Amino acid sequence: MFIKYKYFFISAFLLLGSFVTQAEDLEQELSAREVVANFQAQLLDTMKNGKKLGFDGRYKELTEPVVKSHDLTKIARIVVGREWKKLTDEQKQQLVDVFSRLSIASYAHNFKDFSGEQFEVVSEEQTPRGGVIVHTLLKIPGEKDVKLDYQMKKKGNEWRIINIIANGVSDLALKRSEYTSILKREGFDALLEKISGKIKQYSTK
Amino acid sequence: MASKFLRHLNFSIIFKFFLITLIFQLVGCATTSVDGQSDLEGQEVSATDPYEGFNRTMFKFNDGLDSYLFEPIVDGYKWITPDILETGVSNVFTNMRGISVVINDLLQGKLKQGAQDTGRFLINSTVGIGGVFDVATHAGLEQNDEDFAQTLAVWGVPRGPYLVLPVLGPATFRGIPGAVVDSAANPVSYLGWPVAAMAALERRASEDGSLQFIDEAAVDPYVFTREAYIQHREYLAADGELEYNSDDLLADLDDPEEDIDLLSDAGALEIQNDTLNRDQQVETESAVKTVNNQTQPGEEQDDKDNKTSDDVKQEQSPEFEKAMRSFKKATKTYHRADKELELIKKGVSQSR
Repeated sequence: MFIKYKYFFISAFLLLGSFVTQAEDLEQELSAREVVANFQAQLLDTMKNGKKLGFDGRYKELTEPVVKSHDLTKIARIVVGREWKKLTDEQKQQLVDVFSRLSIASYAHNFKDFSGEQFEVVSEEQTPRGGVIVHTLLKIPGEKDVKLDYQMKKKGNEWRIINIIANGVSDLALKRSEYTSILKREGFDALLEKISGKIKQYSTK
Repeated sequence: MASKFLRHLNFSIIFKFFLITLIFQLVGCATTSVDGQSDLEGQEVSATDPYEGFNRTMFKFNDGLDSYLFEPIVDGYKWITPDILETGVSNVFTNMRGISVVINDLLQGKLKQGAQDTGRFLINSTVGIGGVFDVATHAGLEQNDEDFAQTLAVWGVPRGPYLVLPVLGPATFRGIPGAVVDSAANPVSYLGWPVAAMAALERRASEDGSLQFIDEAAVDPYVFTREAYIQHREYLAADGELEYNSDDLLADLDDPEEDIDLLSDAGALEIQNDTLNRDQQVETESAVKTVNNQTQPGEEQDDKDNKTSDDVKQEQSPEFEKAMRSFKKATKTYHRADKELELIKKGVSQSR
């Protein structure tokens, strides 16, 4: 009798234990590598249905994956460099908002269809400032592989993409040069207008 | 995304004599441009691009020349030439550059790669019928990208300032002797101007994708081209084993106060972004819907509604414009129906 109970308790305990560990697994944050791999998988999915979806469809489908895997606020901050401090709170919000939309729109525009592309995560590397770089390859049939390196930073507990380096060209550095140059020469409103123009161009072409 | 653009960024150049005269011209222009630059408000002269004033002018000039002269020619060439022939032509010129690749392999002490590239050149020149077919790549001998400017970089020659050359486009000081040596090592230079012109045409055609990409992606095409060019050249010189200095970009973010500020900002901004995006979508969608709703019953319209909707029209998406058109059409139909109704009413009252 007792023995029966004993086993019952033990099994109940074990069962409970397994639930707890499962719950812990769920709560455990994704590694930088996983964040990139997940995002690339979602990108491929959208590419496969790209033609059917059209720009608007792709934009809608990619909004969540982009927002969740990128630290868009930080990126927007970095791309305007020291000028960030000179912006008003309202301007900062406008910038982050319009920049987020630009990022999604450029994904939706550039990954419009599928012709056998594949992504491959190659390796992971720590950077001095506590970040991680995830090295990946974009494989396009019949063409040279494109090296895509994702620079990641932690935001709270989550790894987020803050930069993509394609064959040695850093998207962040490029945008930063462009944006700071425009801010200095033509001011904030001109910058916003130009970014909005790009979004429009992406959505129509 | 950037792949198209990057693959074609190889600016080793053909017209050597032209270049030498250019250097003299540039020195003349350069000094004036530095002066001109300090006129720009708060614009400091940067180390990588001290001749920005001059360069921007050249960039504009090249851009104009390209859109009025080269682009139409290239479009024509691409239009009349079947893709297979285009690839063949491109392969021939790439193969001829192969000699200079081998020389630069050796100058950089890359003996194994030099042997590979020699094999590549021989295979493509023979089995590939003068380089028309890129057999070597299929045989596993991938094309390497080497030129004398990269060799100079490997030898430790500094990059020097960025320059936009007339007609030839982006370069750095280091690239000028580089281009002269490469063109000397390229058979194209000795085959007379029709071949050289053809080579130039082919080069421009192969860059078509990247130029389109710049056109699409760049907010400031000049800066975009400069940064992408310099970065990609450094990447090639380092054979893709670039040390990341992108962390430098984060330096500003490192002071702790800023970080706290950012985090609180970030939360607020993102939620708002999210809602902003959605709200705006919902707004335009509902706007379209209400417009449609209004058109269908088509009964309570008056001039006021027309005016306000015209005002709204200024910030429009194509869908909204479509909706507006159908709305206006419906209004017209409504007015016509209204007149007819009046007539009927009159008829009825008359018959009474």
